[in-house]
Amino acid sequence: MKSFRHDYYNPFFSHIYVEKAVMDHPRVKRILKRFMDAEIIEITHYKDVFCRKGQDAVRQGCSRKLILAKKQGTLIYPGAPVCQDFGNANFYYTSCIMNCIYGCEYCYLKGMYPSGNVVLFVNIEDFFEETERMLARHPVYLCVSYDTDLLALEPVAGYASEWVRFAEGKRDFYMEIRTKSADRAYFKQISPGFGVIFAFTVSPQAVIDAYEHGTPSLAQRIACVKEAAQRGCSIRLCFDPMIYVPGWEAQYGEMVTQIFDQIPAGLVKDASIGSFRVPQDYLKKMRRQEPKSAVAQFPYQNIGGVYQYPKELSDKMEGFLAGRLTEYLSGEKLFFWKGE
Amino acid sequence: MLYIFTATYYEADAWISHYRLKKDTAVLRFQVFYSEEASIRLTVTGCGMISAAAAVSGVCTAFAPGKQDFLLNVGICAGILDGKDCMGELFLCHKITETATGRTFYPDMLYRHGLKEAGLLTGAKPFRSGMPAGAGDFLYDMEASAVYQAGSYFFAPHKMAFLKIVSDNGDAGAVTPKRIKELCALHMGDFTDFAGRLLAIGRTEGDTGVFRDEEEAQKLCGDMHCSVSMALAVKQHIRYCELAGVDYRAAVRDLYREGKLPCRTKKEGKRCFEEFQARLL
Repeated sequence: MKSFRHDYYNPFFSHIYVEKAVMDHPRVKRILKRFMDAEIIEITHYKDVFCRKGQDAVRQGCSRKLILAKKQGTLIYPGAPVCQDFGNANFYYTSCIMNCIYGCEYCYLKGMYPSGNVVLFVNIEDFFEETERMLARHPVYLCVSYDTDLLALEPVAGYASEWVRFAEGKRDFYMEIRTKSADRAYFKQISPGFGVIFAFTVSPQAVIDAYEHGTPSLAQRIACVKEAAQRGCSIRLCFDPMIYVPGWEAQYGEMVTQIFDQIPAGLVKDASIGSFRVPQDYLKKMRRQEPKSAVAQFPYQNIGGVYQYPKELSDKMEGFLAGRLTEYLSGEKLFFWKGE
Repeated sequence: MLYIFTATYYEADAWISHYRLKKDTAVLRFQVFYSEEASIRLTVTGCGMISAAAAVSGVCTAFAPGKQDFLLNVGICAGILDGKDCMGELFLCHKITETATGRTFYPDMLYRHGLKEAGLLTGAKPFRSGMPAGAGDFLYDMEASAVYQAGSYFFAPHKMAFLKIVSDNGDAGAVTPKRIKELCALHMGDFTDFAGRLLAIGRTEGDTGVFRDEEEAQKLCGDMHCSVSMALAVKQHIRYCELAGVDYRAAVRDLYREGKLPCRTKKEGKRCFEEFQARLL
């Protein structure tokens, strides 16, 4: 029997807010058709719902709503200093969807956004046009799945496929799609392009159980990475963020063995390592919203406005993992976040 | 606790009877009825936006709501819903538009319920047939937008709910005190069900208490000669340990046993804190 606690929330996307201006957009119609039982609420601008004061992103995370809107203004942003550029000079990111359907306790989105609801911008073609304009000037390395998980939302939006199609045959265009999803079926039907990198965030099962609510298990993620690698996709493994848990050495060590028992190291393009860090304003908000979350309440150190593990601990964690990974991957394939 | 606001006594009558609410004679400006046992505080605001906002603000300032509390605005409204006969039906409002300003407010719809939903217009004048109010279907009242705006100083959007019963379609003559009481009494089953769920949710989600032993933490900070910022850091360590199941008390005991606590100077305290950290992580 379900407990009351898990039963009293409306299901995800029980309510869909749609900007009046895009009500007749074909993509909106297709999405609404998928959620026939949802209450459709017409709105003027997505910020009227997304930016209301006093929202509780954690509670909203238990019953996320979908907001369908048109993105205006800036569509593509320069990469943030807390993110890794993997040696790419023209590093940008874009958010054609804001927020994620997973409930990771440590996720910076809870500190960054005022809401736990998901905004899907239906004018993805405008994002493509903007990218084309940039490509006419210089090469572009674009992360398209930073402030969301595009693959997790693929059945609703189909945007990962759209970006992969867009990338096809483009010179000087490199694109990262980061995900925790384990949708093997997706990789069975795509033909991966040269510049498309699928970046899988992996964590030990103990971290997934404790903090990555609603995400696929480590075994499922590994199976998905394997499928993608076998289909010829360019694979990035993201050990980022590394989360401290008691007994972390054994947990992370076991995870590395588990991964490379199943995935030939030669099929991995590169890997990133980074212990958890978050801008101070975000953590302040996360702590207020999640007073019972150990990962939010960890006594991080504030170094230059970024909360992170004490240096000794983060060096130890990252060093340990790098040591284990170099048993399988050469040193130049490992990327570290070094701060500013 | 549920903070219930109705415009008139007639809309409150069924609640007062059902939950045996007692009048709070300490509050003079508004009629307030409450029951500690039922965990309900009901206020009759008077009609219109100014009265509603003043009542919400006054009552919530006098009796500050906690994390587990909800605001409930209950009452009658006019209803024009696609020519359908919705007379006497109860709706939960997911969108409230203030006709005077054009501003719209969206209570969060996080929790399951068995009610129909609709959008609501709040106007300054009673609704009359033929009045230009907006296109399409709508409910119409005279308080909700003000209750939402005043309530938002005290409640998050998922902590406010607006329940409206359609009493008329612009024919004010049909809305008699007797009719209002009847309509509210008719839906008392739905009301109690809804209220019961909110109270249960409040009890489940309201417990955000961590860091149970403040006294113990204070003593530790005192014995470490902590500055204000160091004391905050010590408490943050304890909070984390409690949540992560790390036995910080064993580390504290060891420090006392080894004679490292209590410290004699601030310098010693700083060293002791560093050792405390190292033993925990």
